[in-house]
Amino acid sequence: MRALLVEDDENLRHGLAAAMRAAGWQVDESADGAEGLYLAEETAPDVVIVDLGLPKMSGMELIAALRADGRDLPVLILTARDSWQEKVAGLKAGADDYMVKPFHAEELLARLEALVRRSAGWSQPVLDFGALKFEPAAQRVELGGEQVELTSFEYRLLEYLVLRAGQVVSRSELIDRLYDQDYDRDSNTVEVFIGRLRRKLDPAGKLKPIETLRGRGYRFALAPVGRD
Amino acid sequence: MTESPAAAGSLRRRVLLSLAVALLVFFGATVAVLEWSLAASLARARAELLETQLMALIAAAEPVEETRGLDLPEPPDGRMLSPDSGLHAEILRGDGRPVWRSPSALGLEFSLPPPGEPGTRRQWMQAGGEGPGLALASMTIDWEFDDGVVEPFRFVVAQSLEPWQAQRRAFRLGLVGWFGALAAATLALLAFVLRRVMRPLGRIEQEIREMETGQREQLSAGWPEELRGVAANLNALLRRERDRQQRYKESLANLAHSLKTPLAAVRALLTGADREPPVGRDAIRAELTRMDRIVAWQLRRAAAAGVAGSVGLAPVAVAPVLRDLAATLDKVYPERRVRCELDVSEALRFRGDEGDLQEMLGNVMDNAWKYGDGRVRCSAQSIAPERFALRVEDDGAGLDPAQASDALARGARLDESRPGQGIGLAVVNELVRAYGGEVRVERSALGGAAVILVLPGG
Repeated sequence: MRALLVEDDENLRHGLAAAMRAAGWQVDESADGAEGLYLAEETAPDVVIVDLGLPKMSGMELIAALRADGRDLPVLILTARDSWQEKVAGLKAGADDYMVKPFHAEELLARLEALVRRSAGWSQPVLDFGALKFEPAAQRVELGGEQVELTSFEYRLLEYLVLRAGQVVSRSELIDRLYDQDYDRDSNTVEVFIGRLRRKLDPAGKLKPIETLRGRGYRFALAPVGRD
Repeated sequence: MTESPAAAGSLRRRVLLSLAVALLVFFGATVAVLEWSLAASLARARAELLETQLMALIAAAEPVEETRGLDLPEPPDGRMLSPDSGLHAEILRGDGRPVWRSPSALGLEFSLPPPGEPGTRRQWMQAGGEGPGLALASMTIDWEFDDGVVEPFRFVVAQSLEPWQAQRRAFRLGLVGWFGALAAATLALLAFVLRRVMRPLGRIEQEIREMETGQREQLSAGWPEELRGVAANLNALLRRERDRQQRYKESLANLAHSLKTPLAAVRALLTGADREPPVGRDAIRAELTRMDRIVAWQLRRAAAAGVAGSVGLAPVAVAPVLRDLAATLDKVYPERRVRCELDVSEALRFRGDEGDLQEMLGNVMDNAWKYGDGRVRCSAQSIAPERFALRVEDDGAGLDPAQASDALARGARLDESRPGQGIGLAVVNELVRAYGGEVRVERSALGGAAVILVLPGG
């Protein structure tokens, strides 16, 4: 998943970005509103985190500009002002959620997971595929009621595919979303991780959750249960 | 027109100056009108007097048959006999030759207009050179002698203008003198009245100066009716400002003091970090959380304290605020799929700040969204003139009376697993009380909590 973090306080930005990277996010950082808007349009992030008090262009203006461009990606605002007036104004301007400073990085990560899940069309916290169940907020995967142990990268890869269940995701899109920009695109790491995921999620080889479409990419093939 | 600093600087001077100018114009005009009317009546009196004297002169004339002339053995007015008396007379023949002249007219030249036909009466003035001038009257008559011969004669009476002019001078002098004295007295009286009227203003100024130097806390009592409102408002403003300052001071002191304990704890924990076994991050994190909650609480409390006595605010429509908040909460808690019924009249108004209303309702509704089970009802009813009760209910577990009073009192965290709760209801309580209202927590018919806010309506 790719996130854009627009925050002018360097310590907070670095701290949050580090926590997000540790959780497997690709993070683009910006310290002002104008650059933030540029990056939001260039890098097509899955979620944007915006501080309200920004130099050059305020967070509200950034959100309004994004919405005016017709971009409906989820936006979370960070604010130091803990007032409902501010929250209502921010959400009316087009934000999807807010967090009041100071906050725990874990809570921010959980909120981001929820935002991305919701924007993928999942309103419930647990993504139910029958035998397989995903709980993004807890980064938890269950197979037949048993928790599956995944590495952070494996989880990210799976989550990206699951949130787009039924859609074909190209190899280059996966690399773009899951790796740093200087990643060697010719390496076969994605194939290796897909192989590992298949072994972990489908040890018996009957479920076949991840399909390979030759020359096009991968697809999470299980049908959701009770999705609204 | 630019005003001189002196006139701009003192109300009293302004009033006196304006009144002095007005009095000058008024009295000047009055003197002019009175003098003009006096002059007119004097002229009328003078003309009548001349006429009478002319008639008396004619009556006193006696014919001298031998010369066919006229003589005045006994002039009608004694003044005609003495020089410089100011009353003169002359009788002329039709051809202008004098037949008689009063001894008083010695050395005088009368400039006579043409006599006219017999029966012609004339009155005119003659400038007197250095002297005062003369008023003259003449009449030409045909005198019939005993032998039946008729001869024309012209009778002339002249009177010095001196006495008339003296009368006018005296009148003017008296007038100006009296009116001047009257104007001066009026101004003096007004100055006295103004001084008395302005005295309370001077007192207010003095008391304000005393307040500036800290000798006084409030304006004293006993002001005249017109200043009572100003003094009361000023006192209220001062009191409010002092209260607010006091509250800010207290909040700041509370904040500083309450932060010291967790700061000391963090310092102690960090000192212990060198030792074995090292202290965990969790302990420091717990202290940071405590500091965060202290800051949040004190900040909100200070905001609540700020609204006390905020009068004169435009009334705020309640229903749109409820709708905005419901939309915001639906966005923040989409999983909860809350069905919210709003049973609040569009006409309902809250008398206060919109941000405060949002803060109160935001906290209460946030709880309903979080702790309810998917059903929320917001309703309002008027309970007294300019007072309404807003009821926010949910179908969650609700609060028992002990929990409710705990939540209202202060930072009690009712459910550790859901962050953010704790000071919400306490903040609502502070704000509602700052508006002179009250908060009650009851059991809702929906099954959960019913939070009732009693607020001032508009």
